[in-house]
Order: sequence, then C-alpha cells, then structure tokens
Amino acid sequence: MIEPLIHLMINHWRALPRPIIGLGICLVTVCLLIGFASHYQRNQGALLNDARAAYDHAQEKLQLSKQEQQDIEQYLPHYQRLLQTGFIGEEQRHLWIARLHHVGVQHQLFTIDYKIGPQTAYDSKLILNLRNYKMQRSVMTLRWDLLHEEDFIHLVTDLREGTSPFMVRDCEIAQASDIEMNGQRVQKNLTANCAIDWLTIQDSQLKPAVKVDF
Amino acid sequence: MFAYQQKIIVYVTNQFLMASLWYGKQYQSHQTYQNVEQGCTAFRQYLSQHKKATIEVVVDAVEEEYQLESLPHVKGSARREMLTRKLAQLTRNSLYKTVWFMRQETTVRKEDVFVLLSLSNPKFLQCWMEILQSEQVFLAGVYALPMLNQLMVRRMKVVPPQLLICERLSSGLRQTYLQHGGLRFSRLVTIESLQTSQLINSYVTEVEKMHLYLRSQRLINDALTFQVMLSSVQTEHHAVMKRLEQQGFNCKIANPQDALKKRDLTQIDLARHPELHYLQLLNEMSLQANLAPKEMTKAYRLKQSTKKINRVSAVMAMTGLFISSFLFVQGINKDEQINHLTNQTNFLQKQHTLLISHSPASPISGTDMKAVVTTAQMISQQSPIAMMHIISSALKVIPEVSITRLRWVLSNQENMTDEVGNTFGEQTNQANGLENALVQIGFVDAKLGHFDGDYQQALASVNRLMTKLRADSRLKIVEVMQMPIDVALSATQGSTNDSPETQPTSAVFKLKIILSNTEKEGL
Repeated sequence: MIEPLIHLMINHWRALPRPIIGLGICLVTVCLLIGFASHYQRNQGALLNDARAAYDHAQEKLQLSKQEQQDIEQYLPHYQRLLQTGFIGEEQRHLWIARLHHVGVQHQLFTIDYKIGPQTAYDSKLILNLRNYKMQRSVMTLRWDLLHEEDFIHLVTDLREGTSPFMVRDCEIAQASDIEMNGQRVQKNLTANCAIDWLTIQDSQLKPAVKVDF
Repeated sequence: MFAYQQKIIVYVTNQFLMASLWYGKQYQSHQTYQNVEQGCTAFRQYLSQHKKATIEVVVDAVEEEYQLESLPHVKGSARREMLTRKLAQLTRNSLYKTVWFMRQETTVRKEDVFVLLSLSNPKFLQCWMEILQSEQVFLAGVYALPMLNQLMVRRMKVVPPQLLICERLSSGLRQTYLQHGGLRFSRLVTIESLQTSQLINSYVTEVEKMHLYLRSQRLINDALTFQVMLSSVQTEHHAVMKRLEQQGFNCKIANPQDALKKRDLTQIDLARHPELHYLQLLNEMSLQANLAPKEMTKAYRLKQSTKKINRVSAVMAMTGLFISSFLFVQGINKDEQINHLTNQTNFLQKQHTLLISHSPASPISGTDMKAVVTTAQMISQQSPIAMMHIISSALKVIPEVSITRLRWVLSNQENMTDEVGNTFGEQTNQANGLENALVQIGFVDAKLGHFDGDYQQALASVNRLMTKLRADSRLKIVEVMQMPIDVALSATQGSTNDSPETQPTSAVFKLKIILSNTEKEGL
C-alpha cells in the first residue's frame, strides 16, 4: 500500500499539493496522537504498578502490625513474669536458693546439698527459638536423699514456681542405705544427683518495640 | 445527494447525443441533443449544471476500424511501449484509439494477439468533445459501444466460441462479433425503413453479409458453433429469429436487462432508446480499454488520485483515532484502578495508624517477646519426670522388676554411653556448639526380685519389659545394654557343680531408652 502511494504522491505532487499536504498533516497528527496516547497509557501502567506495590506494602504492614499486637497481647503477661523472675537481665540466685529451701521445708525433704557454678556463655543454637540471642548459663548441682520418687518430682516441679525457667540437664536416682534423722531411723530409699542449667538472656539484645509508620 | 457521486454517461451517434444522469447506481434521467448548434448550446448548459459529475462517453458510429495484430510475447513496460508504437503506426490519423489483449497463439512462438480499435473519422464527435473540454469536466473515458458487449456477455454468462450479437439501436442495426467473449469485430448499418417486413429483410440480409464476411476472413471455421443472439427489446425479434433459423442459423433471444443488477429503466425508455441498458451496464461495471487520449482524462485521473489520497488519509486518521482511543481508554481504566488502589491504601494506612495508637505499651517487639516466652516454655519442659512416668507405667505390669538406678540426660548425642569416665554433669557440656536437637536419654539399671537362678524366667521378664516399653509411642529407642545373663557365644562361663551359695542371688540388667523429640513433660 505504501509504495503505490509514494509513487502516486511523487507523480502528482505538483497537481495535488492539497491532498498530499493533508495526508502529511494527517500522518503527523496520527503519529503524535498515537505517541501521546501510548505515552499516557505506559505512564498510567507504571503508576498502576507503583499503586499496587504501595497497596501490597500497606497490607503487609497492617498484617504485621496486627500480628505484632496479637503477640504482645498474648505474651506480655508471660514476659513480665519472666522479667520479674530474672530470666531476662541479671540472674537472681537468691530467688533460686530461697525457693529451694522453701520446697525442702514444704515437702519435708532430706537435706539438699547444692552448688552453683559461675555464669558462663551458653550456646543458644541448641534452643531453636533463640538462635539470634546470646544466653548465659549457671549450672546448679543438687544432691539429696529421697524417701520415695515423689520427693524428686516435688522438688523438680515446685522449684519452677516463682523462679526463672531452668533446664534439668542430667539426673541420677539410685537406691541408697538407711540413715538416721532427728534421733529416729528414717529409711532413705534413694539418692538423687542433678545438674540444672539456669538460663538468662541479656536484655540489651532484645529489640525495643517500634511503631512502624508509612 | 453528494455531487461527486453524480455520473453522466453520454451516448453519441452521428445524429445526436443522449446524456443520461446517474446518482451512484441509480438512474435519474436522460436528455437528447441533436448534433446542431442549438443542441451543442443546450448540452453546454446541461453540463454547467453538473460541473462535478464524472463523464463517460459511449460512441456508436460507423467510423470504427478493427485490426488484429500478433505481437511478440513481452511483458511490463516493453509491452506498453510496443503497443503504443503499434497503435500510433496503424492508426496514425486517429485521436481516439485503443488496444486490448485477445488471446495467445498456440504456435511455437506463442505470440500475443491484440485487437486495435480506432475511430477513423471522429468529426461528429468534435463538437461534443470541445464542449466537454471547455467545460473542464471530469472525463473518465470514451468507449465504443461494441466494447460494452463484452461486459454484457460476461454478466449474462453467455460465452460461446463464436457469437454474433444483432440488435437494433437508435443509430441503426449493430452487429458485433465476439470470440470466446472477446470483441473481435463490429459493424453498424443504417436502417432505411422501419416497416416490419423490410426490417426483417434487412436483419436477415445483414446477418448473411456478416456471416459471409467472417467466413471470408476465416474467422468462422465451424458453422455449428456460430450463434446469433437477438435482443428481446425489439418487437420484431421473433419473426427475425424464425427467418434466420430458416436460413440455417443457430439463433437465440436474450433480454439485455438480464445483464443488469437493477432494473430501473422503464420499457418505454428502453423501446425509445435501447442503448440505455448499455449505459447502465457501463455505470455498473468498468472497462480497462479507453479510446480517449490521456490528456483528455487527466482531470479525471487527478480527481481519482485525490480521492485515493483522501481515502488513505481518512483510513489513516480513523486507524490512528481507533488506536489512540484504545490506548486512552486503557490509560483511563488504569487511572481508575490507581484511584481505587490509592483509596484502599489510604484506608489501610488509617487502619494501621489506628492500630498502632491503640496497641498496648511494650518494652520489646512482639516478635522478640514471643520468641523469649516460647523459649522459656521450652526450657521449662526439659525434666526427667516424663520418662519416669513412662517407666513406672511399664513396671506396673511386670512387678518382679525393680529399678536400682535411673540416669536421665539431656543431650544432643544419641549415642552417648553411661560409663564411669562419662562423669556426671559433663556430657552435655562437651556437646555445646553442635547443631543437633536436644534429646532425653535414660539409662535404667534394674534387677529381678526373688531370683532363684532361673535365667530363662529372668530373660522372659526382661523381654516382656522391653516389649512393653517398645509399644510406647513416646519412646524413640529402647535397647538392652546388659542382660541378666551374658548370652554371647564367646562369653558364657560357669559350672553345674557350683554350690547354691556360689550361684548369683539376683539378676541385674541395664536398658537405654530415648524419648521422642515431640514428647514433653506433662503431655
């Protein structure tokens, strides 16, 4: 179509200036119109992509904030309890010892020998939830005689009340010989040896809550 | 009606000119002008009223010359030059001439056969053509009336090898000979009398003359294939056909209106001017060959070129408008989507701001808080109590077994041993830094009460305990580390003469059990 048209235009340029000029004007106008429309359409496309990205971002932020708020509402009471018991920040050995004495008296246990070692670094990789944080550990070794297995369970269970979380790491319960207690012969049946890890987290590593704004 | 759709088809004879007016395909009217001064003046006035109409001229006169030429088979510009030269050579004095392809010879040289047509003495045309030129009309072409016979037979789909069309027109009796639908020769005879009997005689005489002429020219080889076609417009056609058939001619009557798409012409018009149906045919179809010199049709060709360029401009403008409209609509749709998304984003942002403002005060982020709390809960779950419960429930069904020692270890090494060198409290320290998950491992030292030396009974009791423990899904591994009697093939040692005092009084054994990772205290 183009070639005969060009041929026609060359042949009749002198005789038909108006239609040829009209054709030229039409061609230029159409090109400009399409160019402008195309530019507008592309520009709107880019703006639409930006708007979609902004919408997705806002939606994601809202979801994160909702999740954050839900987590805070759910875990704040537990966290405050952990803060009080010394799981976060400085360890509170006096609470452990006091609780140990209290449990011994409460359940009329035999004498409990304990020893708490110095605080050392603990590899938190063993605890999956806290891979990014450094933990400290104080190892407490316990030795006490048992009348029966319930004494062991009472100690391990009740020691957790009011104290920071600890991890029983190594325990041995073995049969034992008779002993004399308070002038009476009370039969001790078992002897228990335990190693307990009292773990703490440095509070400086925990990120403060940040209010995210757009 | 738009002026540019007007068309005037002029029929010219030696005596008069008939101008028929057409709007598109629609017949409007016709005017007749005698070839005298008054007629020329009236025609000039008529033309001045239709300045923008396209004009086509159909000449019906005796001054026609037909020549058949065989020329070398060439194509393109060489063919054009050759035909122009030949036309100038053979019709030197004629202004109105044309040529068209007839057939290709079947000889070895395969020459092309052309028909050359010219108006030998166009003086009768001069007056009319001067008026057309002086009025600067858009002359599209000048055609001889027999040329239109080709269009007619093509439309009627009557294409015998040899056809003689015989009809009475305003100018006289016209006989046109066509070979395979292509015009080969034509002849116009003036009719002296319109009395029916004389008319019929004239017909028959002229057809016979024509037949003889064609035979003399060796154009007719086979008389059987020669067909005479009479027009049904004239009243005398039946009588003529009867006479011609008596003379041995193969005759056929055809209605020229069958070649037309529309039948606007009245029978009265057609009876008065039978050539009108040719003019309508020309209005409906177009002829390539044209008798007029190029200079005469220049204005028309320029008009056509203008039309073509304007049409291209219009198509281009429409296409451009369509494409740009499509793009604009797409852009507008996207704009609406942008507005919608922006509103939704703003709404989400407001919701977010509201949520932040109402969220409880917290020292650390919710994610950290959750991690800390769940870690603390997981730490608290690590104790030997779960394993003690499992062992106790197993021993209830095997009362003869009593435990002398239980060691419970939290370790990341499942293959650890309960050896003397493996000192208490140190095993897991060595494991620090490894990535394996922590597992609860138990070493159980037990003995059989009231043992009377029956090792078979003792082994059965141990196996029952093992079976019971292994049935517990909470345990991952249960294995025996030491049996009441060493049953290994290389290690069994003793004597049947041993006194009862020297025989063992108890049967001890040792087990290693590992708790599944999913098993937690209290679950």
